[in-house]
Formats: sequence, C-alpha cells, structure tokens
Amino acid sequence: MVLPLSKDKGVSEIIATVLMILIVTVLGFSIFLYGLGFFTATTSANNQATATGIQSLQERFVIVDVNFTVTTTPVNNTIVNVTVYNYGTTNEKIVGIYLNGTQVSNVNSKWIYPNQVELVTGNVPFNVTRGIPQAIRVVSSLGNYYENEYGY
Amino acid sequence: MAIRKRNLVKERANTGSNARVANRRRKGVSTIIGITIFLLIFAIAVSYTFAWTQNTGSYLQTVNQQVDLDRLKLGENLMVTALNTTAVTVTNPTGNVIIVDQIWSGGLPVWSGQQGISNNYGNCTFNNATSGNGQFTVVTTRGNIFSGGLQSQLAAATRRSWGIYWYYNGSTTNLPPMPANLSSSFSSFVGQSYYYDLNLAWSWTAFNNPVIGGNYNISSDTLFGFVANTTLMKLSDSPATINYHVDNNPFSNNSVVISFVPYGQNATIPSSWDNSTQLILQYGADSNYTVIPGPQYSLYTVTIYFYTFNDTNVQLSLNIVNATIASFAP
Repeated sequence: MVLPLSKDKGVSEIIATVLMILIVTVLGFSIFLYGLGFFTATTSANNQATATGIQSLQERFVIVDVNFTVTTTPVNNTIVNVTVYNYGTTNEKIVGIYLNGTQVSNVNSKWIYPNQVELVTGNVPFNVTRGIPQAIRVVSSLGNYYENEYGY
Repeated sequence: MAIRKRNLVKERANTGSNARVANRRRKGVSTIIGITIFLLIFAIAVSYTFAWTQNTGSYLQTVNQQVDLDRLKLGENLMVTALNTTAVTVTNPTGNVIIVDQIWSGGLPVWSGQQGISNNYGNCTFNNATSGNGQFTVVTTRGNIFSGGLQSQLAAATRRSWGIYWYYNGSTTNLPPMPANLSSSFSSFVGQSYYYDLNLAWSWTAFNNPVIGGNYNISSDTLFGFVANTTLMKLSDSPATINYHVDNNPFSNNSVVISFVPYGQNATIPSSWDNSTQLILQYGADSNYTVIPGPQYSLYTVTIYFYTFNDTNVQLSLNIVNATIASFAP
C-alpha cells in the first residue's frame, strides 16, 4: 500500500518541477525579451531626442538685414529678402518666414553653415504698408525662431 | 494493528522527509533560472539607465555651454561712430575683446571677415565701405548687432538733446547724408556733437579758432554751418514757440532755417540751404520766432539749418516755449 502511493507522488512531482521550470523559463524570457525591446526602443528614442535637443540648443541665428523688392512680372509682387547669419556651431535650415504674423509663401529654404550668411526670400501674399515697421520672423527646421522689426 | 499503524506512520514520515529533501534540490533549478533572468533584466535596466544618464549629462553640458555663450553675448557692447558714408569707427567699451564679423550699410555687406576689437575702449576704423550710406550695422561673432550712423535722430532724442552735424564748403568728396536739395557747397562733413540747448557763441577774430573738436581751423571766406535735429513734444494745446536770436546787425553773413514736421515724417527743407527763397526764417532780422501748432503731447521733428561766414562773432540762441525735447527709451 505504501509503495504505489510513493510512486504516484514521484511522477507528479517531476512533472510539476519540469512544468515549473518551463513556466519560469518561458515567463522569465518573455519578460526579458519584452524588457530588452522596451529598453532598446526607449533608449533609442531618448538618444534621438537628446541629439535633437542638443542640436536645437546649439542653433543660433540672427537677421542682419531685411529689404523688400517689388517685381514687375507678375505685377506688384512683393518679395521679402531676409539675410540670416548663423553664429552657432551647427548647420541649420531656415524653412519659414513670417511677416507681421502671416506666413510668407514660396520660401527658398536654405542650409546655413556656422559663421555664414544666407539670403532667404519669399513672396508676400498681401500688400505691405510702407512707412511702418514690419515684424519679420524666420523659423528653422528645428522650430527655433528669431524675430525683430524692420523698416520698409 | 497498533504496531502496523506506527510503522505506517514512520514510513510516511520518512517518505515525506525524503520528498522534502528532493523538493529542495529540484526547487533550486527554477530559482537559479529565475535569478538569472532577473539579473539579466536588472543588468539591462542598469545599462540603459546609464545610457540615459549620459544623454541627460550631455544635454545639461550643452545647456551650460549655451548659457555661457549667452552670458558672453549679453556682455558685448560696441559704439559705432560713422566718420562719413564710407568709413566707420567701432569702439569697444567693455572689458572683453569683441570680434566683428560683418558690417552692413544700405542693405549691403560692406565688410566681412573677423576683426577683434580690443577691450577697454579699443577701437578699429573700417574704411573703404564704398557702397555705404552713412548708416552702419555691425554684426559680432556672438550674434549681436550694433548700429550707428551720421544722422541718428533717435540718438539725439535718447539723449534729450540736439544732434548737430557740422559742415563746411571744403573740397572733399566724402559727401555726408545731407538732405539732397541742400546746397552742394556744404559738401564736407566736419563732425557730430550733441547740445542740450542750442545756444552757441564763438569768436572768429582770427578765423582759426577751433569750433568743433580741438583742431579745426576755418578761413575767413569759408561757409561753415550745421544741421541740428531734435524731437519736441508739446506741453499743452497752446501753440509752441521757438524764438531765436542770431548775431547782431548787420545780419548779412548768417542764415537760419527752422523746419518742423510731425514726428515720423521727412523734414520739408528749403531748396537750397545757403541761398534759399523758401526760408522760414531768413536774412533781414536777427531775432524772430516760429510757431508750432498741434495738441498737447504731439511730437514734432525740428530741424535747424544754420550757416555763417566772414563774421567775427557768431551767435545763435534758441528759446523754446511750451514744448520740451522728447525723450525716447534707447
């Protein structure tokens, strides 16, 4: 009566142990793989965000000159010419110009290298009143901007 | 039966003890696996945390560098003095060397490069700005922009003074930014000065006493004069008056023109400074006045044109009633 009982208990214990090892292994590796993926993705995003943040911090530019020209073809098309100076340590791209809060169209986006100036132009889609200061804002691809008022 | 039961209990007890020992041995396997996996996950977390900390450190280091640059940028200051339309002197009154990167005038770059300006009032003159117009914008390597020009109405207003630009009929070709319809005989710019009151008097007995600066001489037949600008603010709704007194009789060798326009408009000036038929105040009287209408606190740009020649004692006195020189924040 004793031996058959012992034999039965032994089989179930081995199965239980093997099952336990399997469960622990599968669960453990699942958590490990999930964690590995999570940390890899998070760290990659963190690296990218940090690199972009550092580049954004290093972006420095200023408008050194603004003038307006009116073309004859098409008639009375006002073009704003903005000269931008990059005094930072990283390349930057000017992607937008705003005149008195309104976006200027057809901006010729340009890369500006450190210690270089570039002329950025755009079409003004409305009539500009002469004799009053015009608020000009230039925006970089990383979202930094410089704004000041200039005469026309 | 009793003995058999005891034996059975003993056997079961022995069997249980053996099972516990065996269980203890087998439990170690999953524990080791669990610990290993935990340690792996922990190691990954620690290594990635280390990477994040490094990123944060790099970002904060960049922030510190940029703050330092901002601090240096804010400490920059330059005095820009235009000598004429093609030359400008840049003076550095700060304690740090400032590097000039570009100079602009009239919408065009007239100089580029990198020129250090010594600290403690070191200065540098940039000549050959052939396309200049007398208004200069200086750009530094730290992104600061400083401006200065021959005629700066705002500068005079900021000082609550008259900005005076002196001329004579010399032969130099460095034309200052004089109003275009003034006489070309006043072609030479002598210098610029600021007066809180436009009350001037000097003797030219020898025709060589310095008038402006310490080393300027003038001959007896030289036309000599100035254009003085200021911005007046009316103090009441009543008309403001500018009284003037020039020299003494005979009033033949002097001319005074007073022009005033609402602030922001261009001055209406005589067709010719030294021989005008449109003088508001002109020859024939050594004292006169002009009246400025307009409501209280209205602003007017007032321009005085004055010249003299071959006169031993020169005198000009202005008395402004019911108005004061306006002040603008710099």
